[in-house]
Amino acid sequence: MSTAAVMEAAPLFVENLSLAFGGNQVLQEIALNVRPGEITGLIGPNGAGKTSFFNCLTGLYSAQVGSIRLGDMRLDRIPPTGRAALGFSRSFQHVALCPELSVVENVMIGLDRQSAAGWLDAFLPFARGRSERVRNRELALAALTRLGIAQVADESPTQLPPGMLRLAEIARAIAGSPRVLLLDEPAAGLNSVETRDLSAALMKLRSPQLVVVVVEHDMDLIMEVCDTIHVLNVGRLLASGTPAQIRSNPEVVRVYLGDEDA
Amino acid sequence: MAEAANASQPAARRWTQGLASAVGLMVLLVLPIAAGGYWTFTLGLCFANAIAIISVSFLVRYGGEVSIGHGVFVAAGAYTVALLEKYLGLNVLASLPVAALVGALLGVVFAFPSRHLQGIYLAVATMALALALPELLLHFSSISGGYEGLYVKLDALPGVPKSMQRYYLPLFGLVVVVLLLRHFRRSRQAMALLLIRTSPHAAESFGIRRSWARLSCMALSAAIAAIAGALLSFSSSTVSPNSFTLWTSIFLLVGSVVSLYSLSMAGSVVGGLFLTMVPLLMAGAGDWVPILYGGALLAVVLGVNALPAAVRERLEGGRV
Repeated sequence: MSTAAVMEAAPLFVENLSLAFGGNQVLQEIALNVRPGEITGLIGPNGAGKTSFFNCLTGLYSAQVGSIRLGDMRLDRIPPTGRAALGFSRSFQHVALCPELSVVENVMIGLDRQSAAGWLDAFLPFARGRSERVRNRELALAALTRLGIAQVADESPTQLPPGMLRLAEIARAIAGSPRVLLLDEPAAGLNSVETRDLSAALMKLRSPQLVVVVVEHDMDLIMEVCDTIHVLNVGRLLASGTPAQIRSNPEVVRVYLGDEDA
Repeated sequence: MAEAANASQPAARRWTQGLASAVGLMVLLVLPIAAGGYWTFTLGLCFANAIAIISVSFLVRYGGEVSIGHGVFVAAGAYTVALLEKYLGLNVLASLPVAALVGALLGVVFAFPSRHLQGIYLAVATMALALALPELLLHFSSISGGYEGLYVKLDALPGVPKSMQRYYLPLFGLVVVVLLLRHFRRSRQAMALLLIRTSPHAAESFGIRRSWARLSCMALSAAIAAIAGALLSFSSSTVSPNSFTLWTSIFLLVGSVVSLYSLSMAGSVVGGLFLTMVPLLMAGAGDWVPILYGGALLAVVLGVNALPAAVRERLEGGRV
């Protein structure tokens, strides 16, 4: 059994988070909770601080003020590698698959932190390494099947369209049964058909064990898949609520949706 | 129908490659019967050089870095064998694992302070190693044997003619290194190294550390180089500072480029042959040697780049 599978689901608490680069205040007093079992969207116009906030969640940036907690655990000083061990997993705005590995091998990397095969297993055909590799391949194939792209498991990422690559990246992120899944603009660069497939795939990810945060520009996708949406504007939290509440919030319509319509 | 044809294509290719490898290996195994002592000796050196070339190619393919100092790790292996024979009376078979370990340790000792260097900066740092090595060997001449160096005389396989040992031991070493690396390619460590080379941020978000990757890559590459050095010292019967100058390291990089950074038997032997044979073939050309050598190198590199992409990919062994 994987170590992540026995980790308990826990909400993500963001408290009074502020981040500045030099004199430039990027995030100001952001406070929000993200519950497991939901898909949470994070939207905002360009420059709203979405990516900075996302990078605080992944550990790439450290906020000067405030804190982020997973359940009772403070994450302030934990780097990305440490957050991975706590069950954090993510996808990237620009596809970050290795072209020299097949799709299923890329997905198997999502299981690396739960694997125990050592250097001797790497070089010599011991049973332990072989059985772990077989098990990891099965888990990776299961993740690809869940997203409906098992048929390209042994293909090279260089031969696949962007939509498939996105799904392969998400498969890598979920293969290790994470507690927190962070998706950075998963629909970037996808056409409408691919976005529809992505939307269907994202909705399948909803699980009581999993916190899912999606940062996205595509409003239709966010409105369709998310249970709760937080709107950022110039570094501040402008509004939080269900898709219906966000759609009817006049402030949001003015700063964001209004811009979209224009 | 088309799908079935596509599915059978890789299987057919694997079968063809397997057959070609078996035939190639058989030819190499029986070659000493047909070839004279000179060729047996030269090919023994060629196989050891092929392993050294693999060590450089390993760093390029798994670490994305270029080394101009791998001669140092080769020298570490060679001197370990010679010193263990001189002081403890161990033959190469006993000292080979120690040589690999010494190489790996040296790799870690070098990689740790340079773990944040990349690209040309790391290459220059490795070059500094290669420049310092001959001087260091001469400084500790009471141990290293100074200019004259040390001899490696003990048999690895008593009862077998020395010329055969000098041929088969490096050949066996090359086959083992290639097989180990082929197995390594499917390991989680290899996949992690390949991902961190192309997408460091992605790898870190899955718990793979950059410093781990650099240290592992350099240690493994240096261990392979040290194995090459151990076999090189056995095949040439001698080690001396002259064998491990900056040029040694540069030629290893050249051999790696000629082999298209291949980690396969065929590719590395092509690199080994270029490294070992071209200077010998040009020995009669006098002052023209460097020019002809440069011409040969340009011809190989430009020739390979002129090949169609599919052919080139097959020569490179496809994915790592």
